[in-house]
Amino acid sequence: MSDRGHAHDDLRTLVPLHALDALDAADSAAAEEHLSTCAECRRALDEALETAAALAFSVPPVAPPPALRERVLEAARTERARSEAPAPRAPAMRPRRSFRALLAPARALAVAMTLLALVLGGIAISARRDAADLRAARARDAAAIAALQSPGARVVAVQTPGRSVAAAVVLGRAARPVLVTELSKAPPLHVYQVWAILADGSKPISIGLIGGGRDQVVRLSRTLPAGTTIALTVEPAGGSPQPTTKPFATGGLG
Amino acid sequence: MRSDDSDAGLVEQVARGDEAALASLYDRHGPAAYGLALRIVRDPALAEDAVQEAFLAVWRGAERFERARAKPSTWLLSLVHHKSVDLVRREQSRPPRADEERAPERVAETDVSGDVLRSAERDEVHRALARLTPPQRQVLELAYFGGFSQSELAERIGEPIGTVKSRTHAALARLRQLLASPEGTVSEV
Repeated sequence: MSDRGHAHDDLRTLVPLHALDALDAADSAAAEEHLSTCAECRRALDEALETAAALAFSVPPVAPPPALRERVLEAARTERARSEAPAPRAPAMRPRRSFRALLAPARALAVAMTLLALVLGGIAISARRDAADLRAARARDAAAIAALQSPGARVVAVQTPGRSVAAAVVLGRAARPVLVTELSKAPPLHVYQVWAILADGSKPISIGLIGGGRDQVVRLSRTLPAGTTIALTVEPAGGSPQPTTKPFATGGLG
Repeated sequence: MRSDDSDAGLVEQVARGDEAALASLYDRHGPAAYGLALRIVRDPALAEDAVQEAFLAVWRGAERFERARAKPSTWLLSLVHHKSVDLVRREQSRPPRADEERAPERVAETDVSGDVLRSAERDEVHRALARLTPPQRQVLELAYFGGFSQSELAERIGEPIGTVKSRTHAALARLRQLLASPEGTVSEV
């Protein structure tokens, strides 16, 4: 059931069960993969989720134990403290031509074009955002530009089994690696999760979460040794400790 | 005062890291979330875990929440449901005790809340559920509240997976129609 050969019509029938969290793991992965590319099925899922929420409203509310409130807020505070890092400083913009030169080592022209479009398009997209978004977008664009400009920068394509480029990793010697994606928005309640699979055969390490859509440039949370494979999976919102679906795109850092 | 204390406004503030907004969402939806989790996991400690994980997922994911696609309450309760089902399945993977066979309850009729609006909404859902065919109601209750997966459902109701899929589809579609026009006549699906 989990093969990529699933036709749209087959996957469509999985949507109601998916909305009820009743799919087995293999079908769940197949459904997620299909939903990431099919707007019609995403709409069907949104509707089914809304109806499922009505079932939730049929249950009488129960006051949670009072201590739970503080536990939830404390966990949120802890999480923020862990994830907060100093904002990267934006380097001065260079003339556009330099990007093309810097991208020379890129293996796939498609990746280079994606990167250029994203990095150069970033500011225009930013104009429609509010101030907080703008700062975040600038930081992301700046991270991509910095990585591209760092000495010995190279670009590695993260590809689907059908060889289409889902993302590119920009590796600079100095900067933390940056992942640039061209993914559609992740399905509701889900995110794309980026994994590093080290050559030593240890468990995959989570190195980033992407919502898709506007979150197209992310700085990965660690440097990546040679031989690492980058893998992208679809995971429930908030990410998973380990991949729960089959990677839909991978790229080897050689 | 908050500029926008609608659910959507609160989610936007949560996306900007506003802890007070998260607290407001919790105060508003915590009881519905805990009631749902308790109904699925049937254990107060596990239900607390499910609620905590769901609100943390809101905290992490608010930035990516698309208000055009779902109401914030729909999103939150879907998260609570997802986490609860996860916990139930994890609990199940340990060896079961003989007295632990999960029997689906009927959709609860007791009302422990004084919230009149919510109570009217609940009545409406109960009325809609009552108009589903018994097999449709059964598949929704087993899947949504029982946490049964499709293969468990097939085994439990003694039908092939294909039937489980089509019945679930029909049940949700009909429930949706009934909720959209509660008083009208709704054709069988």
